[in-house]
Amino acid sequence: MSLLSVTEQEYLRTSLESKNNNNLQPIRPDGRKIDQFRPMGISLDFLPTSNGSTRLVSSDGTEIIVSSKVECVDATGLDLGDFLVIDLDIQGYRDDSIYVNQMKSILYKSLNSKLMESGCLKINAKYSFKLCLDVLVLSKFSYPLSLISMAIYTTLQSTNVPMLLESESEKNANISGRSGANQPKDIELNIDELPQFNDYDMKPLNFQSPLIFLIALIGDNCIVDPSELESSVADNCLLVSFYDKKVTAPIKSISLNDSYIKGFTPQHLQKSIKLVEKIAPDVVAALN
Amino acid sequence: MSVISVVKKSTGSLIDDDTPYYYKDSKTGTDVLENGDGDEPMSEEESEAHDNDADTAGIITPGKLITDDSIWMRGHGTYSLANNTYSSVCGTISKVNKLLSVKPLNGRYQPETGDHVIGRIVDVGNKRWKVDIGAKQHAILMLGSVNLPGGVLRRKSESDELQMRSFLKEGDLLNAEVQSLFSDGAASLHTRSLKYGKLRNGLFVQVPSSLIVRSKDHTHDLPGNITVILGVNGYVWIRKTTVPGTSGTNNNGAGLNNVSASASTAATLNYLRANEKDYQPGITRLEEESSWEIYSDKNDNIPNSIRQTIVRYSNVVKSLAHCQIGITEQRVIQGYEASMAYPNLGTLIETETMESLGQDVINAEKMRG
Repeated sequence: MSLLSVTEQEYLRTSLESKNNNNLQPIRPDGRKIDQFRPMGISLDFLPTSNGSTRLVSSDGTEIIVSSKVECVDATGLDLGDFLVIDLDIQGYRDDSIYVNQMKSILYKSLNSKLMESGCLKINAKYSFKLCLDVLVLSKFSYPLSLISMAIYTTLQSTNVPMLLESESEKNANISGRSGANQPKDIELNIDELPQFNDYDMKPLNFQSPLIFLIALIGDNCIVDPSELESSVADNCLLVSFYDKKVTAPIKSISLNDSYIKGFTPQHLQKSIKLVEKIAPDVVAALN
Repeated sequence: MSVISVVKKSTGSLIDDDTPYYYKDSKTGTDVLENGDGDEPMSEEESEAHDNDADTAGIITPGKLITDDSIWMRGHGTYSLANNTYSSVCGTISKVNKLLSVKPLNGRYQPETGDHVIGRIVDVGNKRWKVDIGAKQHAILMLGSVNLPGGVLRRKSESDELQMRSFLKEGDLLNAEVQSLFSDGAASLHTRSLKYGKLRNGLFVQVPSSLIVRSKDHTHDLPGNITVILGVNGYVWIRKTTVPGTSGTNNNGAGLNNVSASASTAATLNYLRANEKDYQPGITRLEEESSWEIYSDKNDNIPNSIRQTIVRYSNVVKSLAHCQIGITEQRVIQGYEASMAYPNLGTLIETETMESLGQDVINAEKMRG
């Protein structure tokens, strides 16, 4: 729904702009507090053929499916950016549209550096896992990035990767290069054997991905998790990432609608960051 | 209160194990109406008995054999293969004489003449507006079926055709009555009554149309100085109650006086708007101005307490819809009273709260009998 009548817009604006004095909060159309999310349901690990999966259904009907697959790759000659692939598909949008690509790049940027820093994908000196995330937005009514980041968070929390055979990894250390006996080139490079994995034993990936919070700015007010109605009258929207118990880059602004375009002030930024710092630990706790 | 509530399942199953199965078919057979095993023609008593069976069987699913008796005429929601009648939708059987049809539980709103609906203008066309009322097709609102500014009795003029957007434009919400149906099922609306027209001062909520019960009156004044309009199409408008006479609905007697003035309406409109501040009201112009108010885009001044009450009502309506409870004035009031147990409006969006609210409404109704 993008079409609202003039009086509806006016009503929503005045409700949401109402000042924060006298302990009055802006009146959101569904009665939430400024720091309250809509309830959601999450099903974990429902795709048996993936390493981790999440189906997230928000109470407004937004439905997101995320699945993760890991692949063992030869890490030599690969860039830091080559270990993560995010495929984002949003119902009703072309894959090459700005909307999808912008979201994909924000997700990629926030996720990749943290993933590389943590080093959780490394197998041994030469081999590494490559993480492929498939994100499917089956239905959405407002900007879904925040929910996607939550779904990715729970997916990576539940992702299990195969364990190396213990003996195999030791053996590798001793007899590295033996398999390449007939290939002098490999001996030169001192290449490990392809890692052997245990068929049944899996270990958790152990990576807490960054969460992205949407803070809609309306007048002087900052509200978290804007709904469809709120999005359609919001001046601006800040994306604030949260990782490892603190607010982190990237912080970005996007516009949620075409009719209200306004900048934001340092006060907005300060307010939003404070808001995220306040609510993020609760969100993380709820998702864990 | 927590900022977020997340229900997590990690069983790997998408279907709740504890999901109650409300509608179990009490009959073991596959057919609901089938006439036993004998070939003898159905007597009236037997037919009655089977009718009762069909009612107790409750909900039938698509593809289910309803009857193999060719005596029934097949209506909506059914199809036939080799003289057998099957259901093509999920719903309840309805029989009128020998006409057998299945009423779908859910689905798009099907307009009927006389329905009080709420719609949103999606297109302004040649002497008509297209209105989204949640049906299969957009409804049509002809320029001739609205109250034109300058009096109820006035005929439409050419200048009206040229300024249709100053009455109603894309996005505007209005309530109207279904005047007639076209042969393709599309509805033709009219707003030629003072209770219909553009909607202001409130909040729009949408619920499944199957939950709205058709009744004599769909506009209700509720406690808390709130008026709610329950459109039969499932569109609900919750607004501040306005006192008649202050909101431009007072043009009852204006008709006759304004017939002569109406031709100049278009010209005076611009004049009026340009000179709103220093405009000296004459007797006919005053009436014109007030009748333009029915198409005004300005909200009244709504205090925050009323806004909060509107939100409360909207959450109550959503809770009733969540619990699949038919929405009536009585239940909305009941739900509103029950919701007073939750002073914090934000808690009303949580699933448990919505369900307990629905339970309260049902209990209260049982108590009343």
